[in-house]
Amino acid sequence: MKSIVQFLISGVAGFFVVYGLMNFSEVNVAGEITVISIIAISFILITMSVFRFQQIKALNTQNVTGDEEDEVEDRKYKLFADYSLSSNSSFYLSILALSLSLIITEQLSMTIVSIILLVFSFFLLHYMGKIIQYMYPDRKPNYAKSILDVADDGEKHVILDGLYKSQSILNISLIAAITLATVYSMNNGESQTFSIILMAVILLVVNSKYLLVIRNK
Amino acid sequence: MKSRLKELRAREGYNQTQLAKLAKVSRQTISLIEREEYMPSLLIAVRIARIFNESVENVFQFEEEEL
Repeated sequence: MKSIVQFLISGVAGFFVVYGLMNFSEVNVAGEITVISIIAISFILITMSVFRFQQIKALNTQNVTGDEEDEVEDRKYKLFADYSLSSNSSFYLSILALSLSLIITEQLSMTIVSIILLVFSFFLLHYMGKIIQYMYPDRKPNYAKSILDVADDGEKHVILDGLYKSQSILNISLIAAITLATVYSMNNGESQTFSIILMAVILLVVNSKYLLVIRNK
Repeated sequence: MKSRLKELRAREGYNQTQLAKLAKVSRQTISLIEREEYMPSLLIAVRIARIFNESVENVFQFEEEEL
């Protein structure tokens, strides 16, 4: 609950910072600063992912036994989780940077850099399967099956817990985003109708899918 | 539910990774059971009990109110 509140506060704070930048400075300057910042963060996250992968590889070469082996396995698991988080975040931030560079800055250099970062982060996401093989050499890769299919009971328990929390955040944040977009449209005169409708449709589809899956079991 | 997994592991000299391989589960699952954050399925419970040559009730112990 604490993290949801922190997430919402950060989101609202971010909205007002960007809102202020858009209103009190030249739109292009504010836009360029925003895109460059997003590109920088995405680049840092990609570097972090590569660094985490190197750490996993280094841990794999260690020959340890007893409690130390458990500690190494635990460290590998956390490094992999960090890798996933960094590469996922860099992927979505690259998409955001690309969209903003096309809409706001209209600068070819920023668009090209965003596309390069997008390709890199996509490659890192795709490479996750290989890293799982590094970590769990006993598990045979099965690309036809989802992560949930190949996970064992304990892992499924953890995945379910994570998905439940993420589903709750998705609902709350989309409702908050619709509210903020409505306030922005009313104050600024720039209609956000299209995005408001899109967000409402996403809410509807995601929740209906979940409820239908439950209903049909 | 209380689990004697940690105690039994120490008795047999297994670490979590070794026990996980024997029980055909991930180390994370063993760790979750030990921390009592996850109740194993019947199949995993029987596998673990067999590894230690104990009965399931001897490895996983329930309070009377839970039953």
